[in-house]
Amino acid sequence: MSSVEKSLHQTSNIRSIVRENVATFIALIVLIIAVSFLSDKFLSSSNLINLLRQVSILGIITLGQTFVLIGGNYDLSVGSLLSLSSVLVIGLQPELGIFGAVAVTLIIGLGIGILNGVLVGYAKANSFIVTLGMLSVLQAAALIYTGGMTLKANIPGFHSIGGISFGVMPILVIYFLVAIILARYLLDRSTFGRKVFLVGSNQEAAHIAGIAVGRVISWTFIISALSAALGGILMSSRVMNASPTAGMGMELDAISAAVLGGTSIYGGEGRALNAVIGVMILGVLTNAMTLLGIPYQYQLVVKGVILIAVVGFESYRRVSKQ
Amino acid sequence: MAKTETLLKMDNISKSFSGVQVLNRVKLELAAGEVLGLLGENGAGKSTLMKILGGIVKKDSGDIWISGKIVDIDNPVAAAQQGISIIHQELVLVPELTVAENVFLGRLPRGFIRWNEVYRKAQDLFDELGIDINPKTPVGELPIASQQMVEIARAISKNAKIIVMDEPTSSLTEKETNILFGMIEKLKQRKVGIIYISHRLEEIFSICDRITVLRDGEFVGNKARSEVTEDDVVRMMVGRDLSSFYVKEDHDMGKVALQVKGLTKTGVFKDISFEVKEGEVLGISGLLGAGRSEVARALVGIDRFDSGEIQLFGKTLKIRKPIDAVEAGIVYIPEDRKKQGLFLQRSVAENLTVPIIKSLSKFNIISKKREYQVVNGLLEKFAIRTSNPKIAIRNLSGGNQQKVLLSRWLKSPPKVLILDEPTRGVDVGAKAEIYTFINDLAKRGMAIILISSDLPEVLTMSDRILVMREGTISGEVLRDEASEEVIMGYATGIMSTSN
Repeated sequence: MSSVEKSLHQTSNIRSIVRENVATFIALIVLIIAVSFLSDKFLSSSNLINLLRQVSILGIITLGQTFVLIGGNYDLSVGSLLSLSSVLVIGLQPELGIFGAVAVTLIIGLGIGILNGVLVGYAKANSFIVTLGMLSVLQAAALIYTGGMTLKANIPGFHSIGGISFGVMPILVIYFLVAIILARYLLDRSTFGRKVFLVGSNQEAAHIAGIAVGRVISWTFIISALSAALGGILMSSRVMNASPTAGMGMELDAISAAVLGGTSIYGGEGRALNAVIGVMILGVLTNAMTLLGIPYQYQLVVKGVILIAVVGFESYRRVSKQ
Repeated sequence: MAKTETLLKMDNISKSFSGVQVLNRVKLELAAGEVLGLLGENGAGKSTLMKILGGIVKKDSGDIWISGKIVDIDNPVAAAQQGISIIHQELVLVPELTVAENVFLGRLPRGFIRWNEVYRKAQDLFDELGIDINPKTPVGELPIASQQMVEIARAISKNAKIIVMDEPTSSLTEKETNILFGMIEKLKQRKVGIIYISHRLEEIFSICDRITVLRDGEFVGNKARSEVTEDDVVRMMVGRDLSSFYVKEDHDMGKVALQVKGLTKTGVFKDISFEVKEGEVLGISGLLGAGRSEVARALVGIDRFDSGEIQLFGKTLKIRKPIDAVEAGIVYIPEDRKKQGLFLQRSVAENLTVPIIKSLSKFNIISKKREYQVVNGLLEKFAIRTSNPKIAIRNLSGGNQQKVLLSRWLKSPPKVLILDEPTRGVDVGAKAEIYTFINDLAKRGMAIILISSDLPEVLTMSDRILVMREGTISGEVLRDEASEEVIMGYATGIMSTSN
């Protein structure tokens, strides 16, 4: 018995996480080595820090998306919620001040999360359709609010929320690290996280066993929406302006990254660190393509192909396992 | 033995999965027109052996001979070409399509289909096999037994020479079982060889010509039916004597725990009233479709009901969702383990601690140490066999999965436990353990409702038996008066309480 218990304790450490994700982890390492040969700028410390900063916002959204995916749903509304949040947080500042604008933006994000959650969790509407509709509504809201223009932030203090660095470490990266620790703890250690896995694994069994399925699903959407709202605020703060289409397509990047890291699109499986590895792979790839001077539209093709390939591979593996 | 043509010979078949030997030099022989009973506890290797035959799993070594020639069966298509057809426990028909479409599924002509011809061909086949089913009916509207006939007809239409039936009667009533046995006789006359897998020994002894027993991946023996008794076979399967295989210990009962008054759901069940005492095992018997599971599902809030009252220790309960029932202390362990009970990709440990996870945590943070202490305690106490509680529960045998589902509720025991077909698809050894388990719970004062189609099970386990027929309670029988005849009498309507 003690040997069993011992082996159980060992499995919850970092080493085992790496072991369980060997394939994706190796892919990341190989990618980094390959890219460093292709471009000598890649391994420079300024580029690496730049890379980390670039992936931080996507990383935070991907962590939120991971909750929704494990719970057995999708959240396609995060990209346009990010756009809306980024324009709101700047647009509201003249009247509400920095903190008021940030608070209202987060509250609106919370409201969107509750709406998605209630529709999917309680009304049992298909999450793909609900959040696809929400994507459209929120994108339209951002465009209407700004009249299609880019907004500029005029209060300099706003920059310190997401634009500054501590030494060489950008504050964005610190947000990302905190989000990783939080997500990992919630998923692996909290009773809520456990319920997300159970609901995603078998919703009917969870319902029969007395788990409040609707509530658990709602919370996953709330977490995802809040991470998108935070992402919008950070993005605006970093560049001190906001475009109403800043988050366009980010929902696909977030789902790609999560799935690339090994989170199942069928629910019930996934890890916070999977999301991180996935985000890093996507980030390194984008960074490399930019360094190599590959135009944006071709980068989109590469990303789309990766998403399809990864999902195809996961389905194949699933089928062959049965 | 008369000189018959050997249809299939599996010789020295070995297979291991990630270092675990699941089959070790197993052999099996099947003659044309013969029914071979394949027996063994769950995990003995029966299903792996049959998966090898069906081309779903590749063998590590050994030979498969069909009609005297060595054949390679690498995939399910190759198996079908060799005339091998497997009828799985869970039927694989398309419910929305008609019977005829299902029979010829995947083999309908390309381009425009002449439907009249398809229906006529299906009808001809059914006439030949003596099956009385309209080929134009959607399969989903047929009872399970008829669906099985459709599967058998499909196998025959593909010229199957070897048909494997995996637990074919697990969801059939006695009458339906007899129809199936009639079909098997017809198949024998057509010189089809049948491998029949079942946990029900009575069936094996009434239908099989020979019996092959596996235990822990090894071949134990191959006997003609006339050579052995049921006890011999059980001994071969478990490697030990199981003289007290069905046991029921008497103990005292307490006060009325659950009282149901006039529960009605229009078109499903009507005016259901009964009570269960602490420490009592109330059996609910009846034919498939009599409304037994439906009543249970309404009791625990999975389905709604129209009228009636549910009381627990005299207090009326408002049950709208399963969580209300669980919180009140009424727990339902569903019939369909995989769909409604288990979290298949999650670990054995997580499956065990579902209802008690809150009590294993502080400020909503789970103490993994305490969780595994509890898990290891449960695994040991209920002899749940798993290499490691961290592995996904889908890797466990049916019996062990069922034990997990039961023991899940024992750390904070409910007052009323409703078990729906708790031993379906479970082997003899695990069955005995589950019975002991149910007895222990009753002894500790839990009120237990046991819904089961297995008559010997209901008869030996219950203190009292309710029989349901067409959505109503058609009879109530005390333990001392109960017999298979009485229960079947109420279940089929030959007897009723009013006369």
